[in-house]
Amino acid sequence: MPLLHRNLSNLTSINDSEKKRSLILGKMSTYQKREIVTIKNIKQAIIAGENEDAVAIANTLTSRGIKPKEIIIDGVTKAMEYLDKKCTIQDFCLLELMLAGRAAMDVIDFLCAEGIINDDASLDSDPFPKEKIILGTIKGDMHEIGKNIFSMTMRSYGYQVIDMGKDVDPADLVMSAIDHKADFIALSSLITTTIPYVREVRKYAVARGVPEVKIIAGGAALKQSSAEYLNVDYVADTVFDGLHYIRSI
Amino acid sequence: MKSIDRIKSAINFERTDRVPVFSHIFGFASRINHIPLKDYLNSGELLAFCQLEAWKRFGYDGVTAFADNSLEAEALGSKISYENDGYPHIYEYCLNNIHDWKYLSIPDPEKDGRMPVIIEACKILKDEVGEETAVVGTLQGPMTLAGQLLGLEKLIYCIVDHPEEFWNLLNFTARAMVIFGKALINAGAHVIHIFDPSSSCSVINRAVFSKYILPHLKQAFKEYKESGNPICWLNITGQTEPILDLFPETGADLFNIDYLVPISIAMEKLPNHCINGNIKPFSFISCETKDIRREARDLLEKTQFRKGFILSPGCEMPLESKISNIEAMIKAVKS
Repeated sequence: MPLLHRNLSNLTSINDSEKKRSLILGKMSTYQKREIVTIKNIKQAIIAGENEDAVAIANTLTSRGIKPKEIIIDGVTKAMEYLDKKCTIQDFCLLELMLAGRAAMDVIDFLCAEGIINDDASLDSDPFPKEKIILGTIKGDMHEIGKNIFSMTMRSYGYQVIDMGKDVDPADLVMSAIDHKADFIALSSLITTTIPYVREVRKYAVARGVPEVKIIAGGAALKQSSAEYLNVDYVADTVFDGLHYIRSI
Repeated sequence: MKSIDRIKSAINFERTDRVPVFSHIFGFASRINHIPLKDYLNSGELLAFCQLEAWKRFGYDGVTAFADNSLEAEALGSKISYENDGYPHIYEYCLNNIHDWKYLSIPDPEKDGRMPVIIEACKILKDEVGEETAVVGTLQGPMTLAGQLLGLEKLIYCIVDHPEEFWNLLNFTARAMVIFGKALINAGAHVIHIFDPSSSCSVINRAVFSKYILPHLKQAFKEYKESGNPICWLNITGQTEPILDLFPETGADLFNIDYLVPISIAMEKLPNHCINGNIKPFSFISCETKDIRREARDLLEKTQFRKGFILSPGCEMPLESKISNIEAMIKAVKS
């Protein structure tokens, strides 16, 4: 069984951004010479975790007049949809999702860096979702991987994510939701000792006059619990489970 | 039957007077003895005292010389901080990049960081319980320790970006684990318990486990067996179903099964090896006694014809667990 569907050997010597940039430029040159390069190639590169290839293909496609929205919807999002189907509770692997997420983000960042799209806000138009998500690892917990994966996944689907970082006070999550007029607060934790803080988020939301904001919890500790116990609207088993909930609202 | 004999019999699939039970009580032992967790984690005497009191109170089959997941990383230079009577967290990893592993030295369990705390606790526990019950020495597995040195997110990217250095770092962390484990054996541990949650398929896949982790576990357990023949226990919490069939290759005697893996699957994939598990840890906080009793009885029914089974939570007993729920789990094997 391969580690991933990619050639590892040519990446071992890359230890600085300059070399990495050279490699991407080299790959761009390769793809520019190819007559047939399609958005499907981006999807495949992202699924395989080939971030340099994904960026090189995106560059080739934009230079041939393909609209960035098409690249995101039919390339980035489709790749994440494939992973959504693959990543069940029983078959969820952080490694594969992180590599695909990195490739997806590199494509989006490339489109932003080249001025092809301005920033995440430029995605705030049809057909991209308009909902905003406030995200953070709850107070008392410093683990960020789950939160970062959720952020990458939601951004790949075109959602606007305001990442508050780790060890975030419940009141700050609510204030940020008010400031950004957000529809969702998503919070994560790997440990059970944070549960009292998780339960406070709803109380602050009600006290601050935004009882309608939906609260989602996830992470190794919280997913063992229930929405009722945590005083939230939904407990997500995986990032994609959280995505489905948000899309269902 | 003494606890230690009960465990050994379960491992050998021999008849026991009752099913053995592990509590996975670590920091929780400080809570029930009204000792601040930070004090417990920094004093061999206090740690041993709390472990012994918890053992006497509940009557399970083992005491544990273990502080927290960042102990080895701290001894290697990662910076930790304590807040709100919880476990410490790492706020600064000792490695900025994976190539710097070569500047680290294998820590000395008698001198570095809080390792001497655990060695002292292990000695006290052995002096107190003798051969009555199992003294378990717990240490971080190679992948988990590597994640505590570099940060797990960075480490995961290194698996594909710098596979040779990933292997080298694991070589280093596995060596540190072997040295610490041997010191625990010398201090009297009957059981060497490798805890490596970052090796689960919730984090990496079967291919990475097989290529990078398995050889190190195999070597470590071989060296432990040659250094006093302890019971070797592998504990990879999280999803392990895709790699269960590889576990026997590690050479360990006992395998922890987390709540995510149905016990029937674990029995099927490990027909000739003792397993322990797998009540959902969070149930000890949120559920009622009757729920724990039902869950424990269900597990005992499913495993009743197997012999090689030890009842336990799937992972650590949470710090906020209800005492009545722990009692319910213990009572399930004694009634």
